[in-house]
Amino acid sequence: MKFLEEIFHKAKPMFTKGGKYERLYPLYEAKESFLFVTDKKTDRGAHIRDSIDLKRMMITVVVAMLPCLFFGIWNVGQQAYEHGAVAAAAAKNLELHSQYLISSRDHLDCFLFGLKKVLPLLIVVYGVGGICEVIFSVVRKHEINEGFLVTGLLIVLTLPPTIPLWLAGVGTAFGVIIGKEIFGGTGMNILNPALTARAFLFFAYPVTMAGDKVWVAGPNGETLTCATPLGIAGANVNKAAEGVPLDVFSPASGLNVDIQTAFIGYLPGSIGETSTLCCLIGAAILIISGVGSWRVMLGCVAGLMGTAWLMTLHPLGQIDGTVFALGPVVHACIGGFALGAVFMATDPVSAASTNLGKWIYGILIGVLCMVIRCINPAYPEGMMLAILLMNVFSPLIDFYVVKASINRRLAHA
Amino acid sequence: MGNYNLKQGYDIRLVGAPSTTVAEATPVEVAVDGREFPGLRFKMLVKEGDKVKAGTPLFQEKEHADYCFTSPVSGTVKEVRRGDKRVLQEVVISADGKGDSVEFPRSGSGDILSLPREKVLAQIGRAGLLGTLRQRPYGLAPSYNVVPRDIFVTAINSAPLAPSVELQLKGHEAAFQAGLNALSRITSGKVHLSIGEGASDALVKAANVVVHRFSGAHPVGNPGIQIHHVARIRKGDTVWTADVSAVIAIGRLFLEGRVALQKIIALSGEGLSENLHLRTVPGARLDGLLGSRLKQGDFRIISGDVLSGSKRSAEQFLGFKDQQVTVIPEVAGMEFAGWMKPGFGRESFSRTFFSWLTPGSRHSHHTGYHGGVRALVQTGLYESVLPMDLYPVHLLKGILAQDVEALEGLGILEVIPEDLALCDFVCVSKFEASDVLREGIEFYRKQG
Repeated sequence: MKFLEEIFHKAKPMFTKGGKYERLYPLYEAKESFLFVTDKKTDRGAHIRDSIDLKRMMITVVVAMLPCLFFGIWNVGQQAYEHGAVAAAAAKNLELHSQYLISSRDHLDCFLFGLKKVLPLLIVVYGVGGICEVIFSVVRKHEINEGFLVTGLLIVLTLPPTIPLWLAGVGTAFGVIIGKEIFGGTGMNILNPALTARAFLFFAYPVTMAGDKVWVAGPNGETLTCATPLGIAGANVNKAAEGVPLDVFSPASGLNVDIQTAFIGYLPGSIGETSTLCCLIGAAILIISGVGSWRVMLGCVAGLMGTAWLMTLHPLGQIDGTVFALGPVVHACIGGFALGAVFMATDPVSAASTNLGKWIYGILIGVLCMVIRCINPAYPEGMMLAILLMNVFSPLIDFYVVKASINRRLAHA
Repeated sequence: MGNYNLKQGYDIRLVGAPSTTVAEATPVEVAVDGREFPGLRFKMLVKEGDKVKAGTPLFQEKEHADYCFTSPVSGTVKEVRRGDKRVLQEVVISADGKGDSVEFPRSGSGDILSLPREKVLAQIGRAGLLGTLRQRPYGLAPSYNVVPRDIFVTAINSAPLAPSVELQLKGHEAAFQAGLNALSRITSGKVHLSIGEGASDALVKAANVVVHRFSGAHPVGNPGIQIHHVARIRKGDTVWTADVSAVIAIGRLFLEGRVALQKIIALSGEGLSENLHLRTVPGARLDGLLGSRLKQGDFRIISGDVLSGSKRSAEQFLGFKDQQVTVIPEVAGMEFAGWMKPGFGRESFSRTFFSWLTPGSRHSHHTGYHGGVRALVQTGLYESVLPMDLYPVHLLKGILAQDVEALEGLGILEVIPEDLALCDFVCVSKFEASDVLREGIEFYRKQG
């Protein structure tokens, strides 16, 4: 690799101050630091530095998300054939019905089908986001930050597989520019950029982002709608007065799964949100590596489960099948909770930064998520809004935690 | 007696720890550097060619004739180096190896306790030993007029590849106690002695002090951390700090009536063919200490430890208060795709490299950054290596914003750069935390 190193050494003067392409230095730096670990010597402060850098940290998060991504890709195909088969049966097309059923049991077929849907999304999101990052770092004259490696993948994981590519691009640009760059770039943003992108698409293009139902990419490019446990359970609240027996996990409700398969992720939904199991694998990677905050994750789980238990005490919680009655375990396994708690809430920039603050921040996300799921009639899922809301409050939480430390210090002065 | 078990901190698993062998190094050339006593202005007392003994004043603090900085060895003044505006830099002395010393009044260890404060302080000051202490806040040389609220003695060396406190103490137990007695006379409060786990009797049973037992990882040995847990520095407080070698030198001054600055330092790091302890004096020329042990190649010589020491050349001198010389390789070339590798041999405080699977292993570290400088991301890593009720990121942001009013509350009186040096190490954004703190302290002193 010596020759590559020499090429970079030769090219460097063109990009540094006074060079011909001085303005494009961030691009050079990104390429160089992608290929090589810098040989810059320490000249102030500590003489030796930890092997970790932002790139390694972000790559670790990406690795932690890979189980969700791969499962999600497979699940896109699986759900397509599964629901395609149901639709074909409804249309009395038995030949197509059995063909889809066979395909739905062929894991490779499912994966390849999912890949056809997800790969273009990945390319568009990384492409659009990367261009935004480069433009801003060239104009602002700072290095390109690796944070977008994570943001890009997160955006894809939160999108439905049927979203038009141009919308994914628009959403990404909005998330990166409005969510991050206008605040000064990585490290300065208030909101999680990936969630900003999703929230933008959710509110601006609700038809493509799903409300109480989700979209499944049909096997022939058609878009199929499908119920979600939270959607059904939420709707059941209105039916509770009628006194008919209600259920969430049953063929009658239109959702032929049980809690075990929901935990594994065998559900329709956004690409990466369905599998609580894969999120737990990711959580393990983040916690063991020390990159993700276990305090935030545990706080989210405690807040959600505690509130979910409280909801079962509500009069509606006594009626089986309503969103109030689902209980802590079911609530933790369905919807976007796991993906949000593990990968979104833990974003170090938009989360609270103090240890006590992380607990408060995490618990409140869990509580808010449940409050939106149960009490707000408009949105069956509350995780996205809960995290965004707490993103806004996290500087305030930190302010009071630090203030308490300051008061202890000044108390006897 | 208090027990403090600190959970935050990190011991860097660096190769090149010193063996328990103690070698002798007779210095040929010694320098006393005025820049190592920040906060003071000096008046020169010698000129080039003057004969000096160990304990002969070389220069004094401008206002106080009893606050001297003396020669650690007998010999001849070779050179007086000055910088801009004729500010004193260093006085270089060629040692004659005779070991002559200026005579000082002797006292028995117990008798020191009945001496008046002024007398004890003046004797320590005239012998040039006040400069072996440090003053908080800000980590300056002690001010002669100030009566310190407390004096903190640390008998824990937690820095990477630090010398053994027990070797330092061996044979000087009586002098150590006499030194503690002397320190107890010059503070209006108490002398606090911080000891580690498995400390010897000379430490555990030390008299006329309050003993505190600390356990944990670096920076547990830093006085700043210990002060924070025992009795915080509030606005208006002044405390002094000392290490074991300073206490022994003060004890020997009273018991033996002479200046004996000999101390044991560690020769650490993989840039040396042999890692051991060395008996020498502060300010000894480094090439004389390292000798033929220095390996061929591109190495960095650090007076002090790898976190808070200062870069030196072999022709320069051991820092007055430094307890070790560490030699590590300079970074050589860029590493291809280093950030993608599994990293079994690359140490990290995080567990993003697989070196965490072998917790007992020691690793080589060079002087590279291991990554590009990025916007500061608050990962919470700083807090996990600083065992204090203090939020370093908020303090550093306060410094960058020059928010003078907020800085006291954020804790600027309680830390000096060495306390935040581990933050430099662990930072994923490669932020220069300890250097920003250094600038912040200077800024805050000017405002105050």
